[in-house]
Amino acid sequence: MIEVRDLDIRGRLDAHILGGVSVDLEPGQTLAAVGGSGSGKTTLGLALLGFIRPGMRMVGGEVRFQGQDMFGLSEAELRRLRRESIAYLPQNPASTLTPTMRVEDLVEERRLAKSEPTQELLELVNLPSDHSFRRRFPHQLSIGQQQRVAMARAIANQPSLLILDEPTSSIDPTTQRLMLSLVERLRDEQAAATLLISHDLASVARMADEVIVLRSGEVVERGAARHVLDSPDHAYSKALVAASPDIAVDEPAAVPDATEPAPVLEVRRLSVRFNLGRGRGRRTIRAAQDVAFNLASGETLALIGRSGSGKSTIARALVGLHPPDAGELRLDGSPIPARLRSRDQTQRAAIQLVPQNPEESFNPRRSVGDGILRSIRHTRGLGGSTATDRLAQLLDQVQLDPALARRRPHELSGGEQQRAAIARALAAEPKILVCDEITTALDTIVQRQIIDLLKRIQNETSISLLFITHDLALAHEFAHRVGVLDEGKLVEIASMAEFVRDPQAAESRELLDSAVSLSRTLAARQLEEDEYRAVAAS
Amino acid sequence: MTSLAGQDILAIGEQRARTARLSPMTVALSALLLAVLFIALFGPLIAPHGRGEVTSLPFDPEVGVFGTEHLGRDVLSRILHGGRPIVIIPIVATALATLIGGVLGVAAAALRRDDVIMRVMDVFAVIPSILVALVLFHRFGAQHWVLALAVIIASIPFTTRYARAAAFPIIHSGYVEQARMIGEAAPTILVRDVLPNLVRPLLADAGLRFIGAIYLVAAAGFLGFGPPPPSTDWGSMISENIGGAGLNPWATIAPSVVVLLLTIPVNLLADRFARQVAR
Repeated sequence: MIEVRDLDIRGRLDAHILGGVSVDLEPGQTLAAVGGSGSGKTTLGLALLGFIRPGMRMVGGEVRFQGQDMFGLSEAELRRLRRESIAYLPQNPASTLTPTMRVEDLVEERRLAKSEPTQELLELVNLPSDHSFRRRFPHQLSIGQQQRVAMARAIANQPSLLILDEPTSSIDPTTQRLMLSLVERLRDEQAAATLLISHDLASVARMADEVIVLRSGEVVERGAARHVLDSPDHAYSKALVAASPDIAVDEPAAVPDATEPAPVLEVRRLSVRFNLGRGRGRRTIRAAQDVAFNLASGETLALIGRSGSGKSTIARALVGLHPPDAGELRLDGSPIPARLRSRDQTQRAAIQLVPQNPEESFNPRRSVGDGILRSIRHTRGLGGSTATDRLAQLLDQVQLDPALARRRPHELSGGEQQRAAIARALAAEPKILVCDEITTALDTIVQRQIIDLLKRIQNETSISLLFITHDLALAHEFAHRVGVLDEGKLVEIASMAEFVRDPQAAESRELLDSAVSLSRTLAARQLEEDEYRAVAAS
Repeated sequence: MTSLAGQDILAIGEQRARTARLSPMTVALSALLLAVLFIALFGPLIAPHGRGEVTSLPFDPEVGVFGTEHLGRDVLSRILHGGRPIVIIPIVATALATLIGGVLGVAAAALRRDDVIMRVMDVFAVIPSILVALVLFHRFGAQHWVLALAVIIASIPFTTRYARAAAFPIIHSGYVEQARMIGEAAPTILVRDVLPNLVRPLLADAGLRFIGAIYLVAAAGFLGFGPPPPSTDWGSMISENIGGAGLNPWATIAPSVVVLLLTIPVNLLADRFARQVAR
């Protein structure tokens, strides 16, 4: 149904984005394109829509959809195809909703004569279908609801081709399961073909029949999903599979010495509130309520929770960016002020934040090395050649090429930016490093490198890490202890080994169940197929 | 432990020079703009006749390049004499308006409760600029500084609003937060992080503001609030000669075209600059 032949797409300076990619996709089949960032996955997905991003151009090859050459069609014919036969869900599905349109109009817009009524479409994605809900605007819905409306839109035209671009990266486990069942339904009822673009190998293992592994725009391996993910042949595929965190395989990190040292950081009954809006629409959100934990020297504590559980707010409260309403912070046994302004230089240096978005944390008009130097000079009072020596030492510690440190933040890759941000945090010689979702934007291989880097730094310096993430599988293999956040409350805190063996809170069990495990997913699929074969044989 | 040359690491502290890539269009527009600015500023030195010198009968199209105007003076010479106010007043006024608006806007963005500044600006924003100018002329007479003041008063609400919008994301950016976290003082953050990132968007806005100022100066001239005779400006020339458009159309067309030749390149260049900033 879809035939891609030798697709060659180039970007600026004639750089290969896709270099001769060929793909076949049959009705009812799910093909997954996996690979790191910059491998050309998204460009391939968009090419199936007959779209090439500005700044890129197609040099050769063709894309055929139901026999028609997509790039030979007129703009009007392309629009008709996209409206009637194709559905595309981008990384952040909620962003596809026009903010000034009501729920029912958003869904209605995508319906065709053959489609189910709007009401049924909403019910299919587990949304209320009553009048008052249908009249709402996107901003009156939760993120999860927005994502579901986007899904209802995607299935409204009963597409024969479904393109999912990193669907699981921003979606919580429940919504993920829903999306999965919708894809299966489309496949079974419409014989829809699906292209799944992802670097989350576990979700690929769950959904895909075939897998292609892309690297720098070239297919380095292709084959049945189970084969490629279980016993990959190409070195890059092996690296991808090895880097993918797996809660069922990896051993949890051992808790350091049982000789309980005095905690470096004590957090006591921390409560943080947010005020949203002003005047009549003003709402108060309790982002953290009575959160309490200790952090020992050389220890890694993972704070885990889904989006909106208050993880980042706690990080910001610790470094003093968001003063809490109540609670106390103690550093080495003595209380420290809540506000950044009231803390002294030693207290500020002691707790350093590595932010979620490293690029945005460097001044775009200065080099990243300059940003690190600034922290060295200001927090340690070093100057001249002592400061530059220290910079060289830090760059070496985070394994960042000094030539890259002369560049501006946007000229670095995501992994390099994150190394620079870690170097800057280390420049203050902190006791505690607060890492706020620092691996979220990175692909699995780079993710792995950053984790290894943090582990090594911890071994060398016995720094304490507060590792904030929503990825339990990743935290599992390097955090000593784990705290689970649910709507601003710390519902459980335990050693990682104990937590995995016997989770106490409902939220913990939910997180553990949905934690990524490639091996478990593969085994489950194997089991399913065996059963199917047994039934077929009898 | 380090494999670096000492100079390499020292160079990190400095900013890399950015090589600007100029498109042919940008070069052409800049050249045109510079030519018009040159005419405006140095025109009086190259004018064939004095600004008050009568060379022929009124509206005689045969004399000189563009003929004569309503009092029989040479149109080309009057154009060469009449450029200074229409260029200098908008430049000075726009620069001051951007500076004042920039300060107010950054203050508004940095303060939690910025309602006071912005609501006052909103009140001023609804007053038409030409009205401000006419009231001031009535009180102080049609002088150059009054015109400049009118432009400044009319522009500040908009430059402030723009500067606030441009400064807000910078002040709340990750890099300013980082600087705060290591305890840098507010003035240092302002100079190192906020201003360098604010300059380009403010310049792009100033370009568009400059055109508004030119129109206001031209409009004032057209309405009879130009400089006292025999000195002139391009706006006044258009209104003085519009009655004789049938006899010598050049007397109105020529000054109109020069105004366009000034505003169009500024407009396009500011647009290009704004697009670069947005990228």
